[in-house]
Amino acid sequence: MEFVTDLIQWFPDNMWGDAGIIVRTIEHIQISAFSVVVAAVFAIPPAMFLAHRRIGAFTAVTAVNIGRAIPSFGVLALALPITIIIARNVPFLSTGLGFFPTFVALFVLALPPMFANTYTGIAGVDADLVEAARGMGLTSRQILIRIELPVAAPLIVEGIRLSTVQVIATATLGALVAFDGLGRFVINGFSGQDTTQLAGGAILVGLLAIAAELFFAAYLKWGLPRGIRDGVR
Amino acid sequence: MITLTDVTKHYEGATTPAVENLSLTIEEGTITVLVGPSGCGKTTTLKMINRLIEPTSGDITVGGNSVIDRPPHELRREIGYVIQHIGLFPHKTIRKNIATVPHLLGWDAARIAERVDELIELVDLDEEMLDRYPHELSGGQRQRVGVARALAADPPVMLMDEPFGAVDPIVRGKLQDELLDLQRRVKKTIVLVTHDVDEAVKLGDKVAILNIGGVLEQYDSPEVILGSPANDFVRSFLGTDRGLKRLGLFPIETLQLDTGPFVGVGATTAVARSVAQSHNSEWIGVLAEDDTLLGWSPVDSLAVDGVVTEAAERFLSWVDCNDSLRDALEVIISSHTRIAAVLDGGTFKGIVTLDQIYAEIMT
Repeated sequence: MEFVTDLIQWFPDNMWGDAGIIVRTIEHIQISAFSVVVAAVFAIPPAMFLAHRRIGAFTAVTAVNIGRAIPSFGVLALALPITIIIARNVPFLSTGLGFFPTFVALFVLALPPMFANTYTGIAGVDADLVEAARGMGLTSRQILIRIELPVAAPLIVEGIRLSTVQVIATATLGALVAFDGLGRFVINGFSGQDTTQLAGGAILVGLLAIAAELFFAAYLKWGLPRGIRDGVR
Repeated sequence: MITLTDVTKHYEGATTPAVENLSLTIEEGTITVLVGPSGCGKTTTLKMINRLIEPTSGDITVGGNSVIDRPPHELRREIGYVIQHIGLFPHKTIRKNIATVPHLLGWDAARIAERVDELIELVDLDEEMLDRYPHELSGGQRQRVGVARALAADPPVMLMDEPFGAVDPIVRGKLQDELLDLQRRVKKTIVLVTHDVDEAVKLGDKVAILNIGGVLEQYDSPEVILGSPANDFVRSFLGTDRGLKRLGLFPIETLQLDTGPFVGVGATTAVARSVAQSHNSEWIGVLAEDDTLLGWSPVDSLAVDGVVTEAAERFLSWVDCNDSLRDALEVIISSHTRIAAVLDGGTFKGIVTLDQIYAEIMT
């Protein structure tokens, strides 16, 4: 029971300050959001265009599977020496520890779900819809923007959701390479055999992931046009 | 008017062309049906008109202008297009679906709104449908929306690729009637593809029968094609019930109707018996004072001396004067009286007999 009361007390005691829960949470959200957004920019537009032109399906799937097979911890371990070398030659990146390698690992992790879902979403748009659109005189670009993207939206958003939740969970490992965020509590609690801190950090990461899930669930429930939301076609 | 001149489509890798040297003139304001077995290139031919498929060689003109000279998307905005599965955009309301082409053409909002209201009425749908989404409509309703969407910018030409293939037979028949009714009002140049001969002869002012490889076997009115098929291919494609199909093209109105063994209510039974006898009939039909049909009675059951006051049996074998000779034949062969009474609304016009239909087949 003592553990539970300690744990409950841990949250208010560590809420504020430079290394408090608020600051660590903001750091965690920052790196997660940044990684997902950058990865989205690199994953979604290429997937859109490839799928629109129905090219590279095999290559796309293979690349995605390889991406999925690499464990995130491995990416982090691989990224670290590379980022250190890069950082040595790029002045403003300072040491090559902390944010940079964590970001690289999360970026790589976030790519495959968004790429795969965007590709399958757009390539899977009913051929009749596309033919009707072409037959009515929509240009290729108008078909992509006005028809394929909105119809594939649920799958694309689902891909972003998968990436985001994975990134939030994995950002915890950033503490191993001197990034802070909520992982700091977990790693410090682990190395200092401070179970309260360890559990507190883990709970916070879990809550953040759940919050992200809820955000996307809300979008899929209320943010889509009615015809897509409950359309069966 | 649409003309195809020596049009050939040779798909890459195919050993034989899908369509070879096809020339066809499609008259303005008519429904022209392209029909044939699968592989006859009918859909390919249709899609070459709006350049969804590019012809390998030859020329196609719509309204006097070659389609090849124009950017495809601009050409397509001037040609209505309806496909089997309609392809309504699921994320857009019916209103927005219908407004697709006017929107692309940059019409202002007021003009689009006015046109959409006009169209929804034209295809006989309720205005409240406009704010629904496609999945909330039945198959038949979606089909009508598809037609409204194709007609939105009032294109002179409409292409329809098996438009009624995905609905059940009852709805299909109804939609076909609606299309004919619509065409009477809008007078578009419609090119329709189907594999269904019955649909072709029902809808087409002209029917083009295509054979494998886009060979045009016969191109004429359904009456002529059914009456004198050009060759064995056409004959076998039309099927063994060619005569029956042809009967389906003639409305009963065209016949000189026989009066039949009918008397007005209040006639003496003696008169009724002699009328029946003169028609060599064992029954007598009874009409009310306003010429509506009351029914029939067996001659045996008439009183020896008296007046006809009522009919013993309801008259079941009747057709409307707008029905076809095929409908009349159907009624005749399944009735006891071996005739079909012809009604206009409720009013008795006369009767059709098997002999009359037979005479019609012979002409």
